[in-house]
Amino acid sequence: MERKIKIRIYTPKKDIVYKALKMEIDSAPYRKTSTVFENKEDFLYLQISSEDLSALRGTFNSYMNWLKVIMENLDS
Amino acid sequence: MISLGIESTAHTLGIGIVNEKEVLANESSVYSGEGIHPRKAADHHARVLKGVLESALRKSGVSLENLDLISFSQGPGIGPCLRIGATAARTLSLRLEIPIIGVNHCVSHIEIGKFTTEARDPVTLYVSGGNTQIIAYTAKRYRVFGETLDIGIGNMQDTFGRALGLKFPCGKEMDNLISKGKKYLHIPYTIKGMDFSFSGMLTEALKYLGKEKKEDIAFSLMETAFSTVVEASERALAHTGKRELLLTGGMAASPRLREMCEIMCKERGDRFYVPPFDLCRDNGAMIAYQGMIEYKSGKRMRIEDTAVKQKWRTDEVDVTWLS
Repeated sequence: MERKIKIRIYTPKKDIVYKALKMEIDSAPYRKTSTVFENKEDFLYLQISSEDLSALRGTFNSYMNWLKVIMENLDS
Repeated sequence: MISLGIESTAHTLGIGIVNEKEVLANESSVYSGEGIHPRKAADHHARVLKGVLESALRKSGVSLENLDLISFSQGPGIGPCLRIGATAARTLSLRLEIPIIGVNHCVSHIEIGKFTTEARDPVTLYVSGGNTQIIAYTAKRYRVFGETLDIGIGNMQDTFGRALGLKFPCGKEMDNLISKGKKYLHIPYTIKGMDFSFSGMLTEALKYLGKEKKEDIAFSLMETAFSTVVEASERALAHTGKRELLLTGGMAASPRLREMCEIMCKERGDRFYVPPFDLCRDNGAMIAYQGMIEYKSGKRMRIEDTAVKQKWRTDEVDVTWLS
């Protein structure tokens, strides 16, 4: 059964977040998950899907690490 | 020009700031556990990066707005760890609207060694946990004249240290043990041409545990391992005709390895150099410096070019900054 995690990221610097994170998402070697990452008008949309719950969690954890690093360096 | 460098290839998260003349700051935090677990090390780097950055800026007296360049270790290294540094570098570059350069970690070790010693054109013995190479510049590339065929010498030492119950990394404790060893036990001396192999040495050393004193096993293991890399370095000096040996990498802290290199060079009439220890081990200052010299030589990168390269070899780097 496929499971999904859907995240909306609201930040005034969403274009920077998008460019910084997209590189990692596009180059990450996660074969058991699929990701949609879009720069919408008012927010960023991140969706992770997988039939493998462990893979889903692992990919989510990686993305959260990268997001944490990005957000902390946006305004420090 | 002021360059900020982010190092995150393995267990060290390092941030350094340099200008053309000196290292202004070199701060780091090292993940320690039972070896390097990739995800846990990446978690560590994400957790400490902000604090290390703030510390580097404070020590240097430089603000983010003063920076001219962001450099980061693009490879080789552990994927999850590399990605933390790369992500931070991209964010800073985009936020501050300044250029970004990804550099090769191994080449950075060599160039910071030349910047901080009088070495001009050395054979470099680069010894660390993940890398063991003998490198020299010729025909526009840093060529690998000899390297490990399996594990790094530091990896071997740490694995043996773990078997002894030492915590990771165990360099200082091993140096202490080695100095107390008196009896040499047979360890296979594995060198082929200028390449060497450490896994067989490690296996043999592990077999002695419980049968011989640990000081003697540690001494025998590291004496043999050091001898192979020093022999290969001597061959590289003879082959290239270069008259300088630069020792760098985390294992350069070993007093016995330094002694062996010094004796070998003295016998040959060659000069021996070792950078200050905080620039031998993984650090951000070498990344900052490497980015600066590459940028000044004309190298440019778009954000799209900054994907990490886990298996980036030393001899794949285009050396644009040396004539």
